[in-house]
Amino acid sequence: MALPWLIGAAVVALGAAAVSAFSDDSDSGSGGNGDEERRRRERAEQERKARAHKEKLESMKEAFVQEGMQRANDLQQSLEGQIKVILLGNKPFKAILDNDEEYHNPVSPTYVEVYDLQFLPQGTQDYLVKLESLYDVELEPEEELMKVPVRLKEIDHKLAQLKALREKL
Amino acid sequence: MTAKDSMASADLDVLLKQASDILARKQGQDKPVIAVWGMMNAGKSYLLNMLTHHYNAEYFPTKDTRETAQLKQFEGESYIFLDTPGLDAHDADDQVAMDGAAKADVVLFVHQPKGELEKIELDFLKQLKESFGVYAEKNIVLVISKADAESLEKIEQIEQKVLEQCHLHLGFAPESFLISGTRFHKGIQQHKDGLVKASHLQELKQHIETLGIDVRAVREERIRHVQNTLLLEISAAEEALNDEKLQLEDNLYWNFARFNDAMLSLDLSMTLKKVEYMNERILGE
Repeated sequence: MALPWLIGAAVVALGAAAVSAFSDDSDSGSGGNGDEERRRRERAEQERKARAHKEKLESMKEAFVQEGMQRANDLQQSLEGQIKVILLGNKPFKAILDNDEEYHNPVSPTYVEVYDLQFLPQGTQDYLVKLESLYDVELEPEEELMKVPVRLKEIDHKLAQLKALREKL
Repeated sequence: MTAKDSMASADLDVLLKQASDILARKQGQDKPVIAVWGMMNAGKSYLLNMLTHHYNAEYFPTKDTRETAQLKQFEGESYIFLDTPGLDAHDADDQVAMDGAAKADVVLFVHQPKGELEKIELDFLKQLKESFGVYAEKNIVLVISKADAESLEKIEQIEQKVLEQCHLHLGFAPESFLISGTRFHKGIQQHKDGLVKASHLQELKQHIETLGIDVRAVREERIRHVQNTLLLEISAAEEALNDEKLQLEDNLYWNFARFNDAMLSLDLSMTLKKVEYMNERILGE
């Protein structure tokens, strides 16, 4: 009498297992398609973000150059009467934003050295060197400006003479 | 260079020359230097020719014209005589005359008796008095030339007036002599001692000799005075030059102020943009 019960139980168990197996197969098939879609979407999102980021960086670089160009005329005018500034080429601003180094691209010898502009205040000398490192320019001091070091030299000479005279007297 | 600068330079050159003259005098000749000073055509060269025994041939040209605006000297046995250009408020020539007086140990100030001392004569005498210091009263001698050009009474009136002016403006009345060149020359040529005596030239000569010129003391006094004056002028010149230098440097600063500001602004903007860019780049990694 126990056998039919056992058989019955086994059949039920097998049935349940079969149902379970069928059910697992069914779940597994629909879950694989969803992951792929999600990953695709994520990839697309990442690519979009990367593109947008790249575009932003490019636009920042462009804005940087744009500003450099816009300021060129102002700089040129700010030196009017002292130093003639000749901007060279269509895009004289040559600084690069994504350069890890300093912006400086020193030209040797600098115009400060070429024209012996060491009589100018140190800060102005530094800015002139920076100007020619940022821009393709030619600098030419005005005649009036170059009279200043001559007079300064004369004054120093006279002062030295007076000092010597004072010591002799 | 501005006109003011070039004037300052010219002044400085005069200053340097005066100083080098003084330094030269420190090691200069020991014979007393007697300079003759006065207005144009006062009779300076005439007097000098008499004092240096140039009776016939002129050693000192008596045509006191502008072309001869330089010092001429004659070295005698005991003295060095120095002729100076006539004063006439002509800056360059008057400066030569001042230089001549600066070298002198005794100054014979010659005034022709047309009237009292003119302002320019008084101004020069004041400067002369300053430079002689304590020796002024003794070593500045007044000579009224051409004493025979007017009556004795008038000449004496003029002399009196001139001495009063000296007393008023200089604080002392110098020894004065009424000299007649005409009488002296006649006396020499005609061997008439009376005329020579009446010219009063011998009295002047004797006075110079009795001055007992202490060359060293007089020079030291005058050099000390000039040194002090020069030191003050050197200080003033140094101050003017230092002021000019500061002004030039100040102008440079202001002439480049706009450029400096523009570069500072550009520099700050670029630094800011670089920081923003680097941050953005890091965010993307």
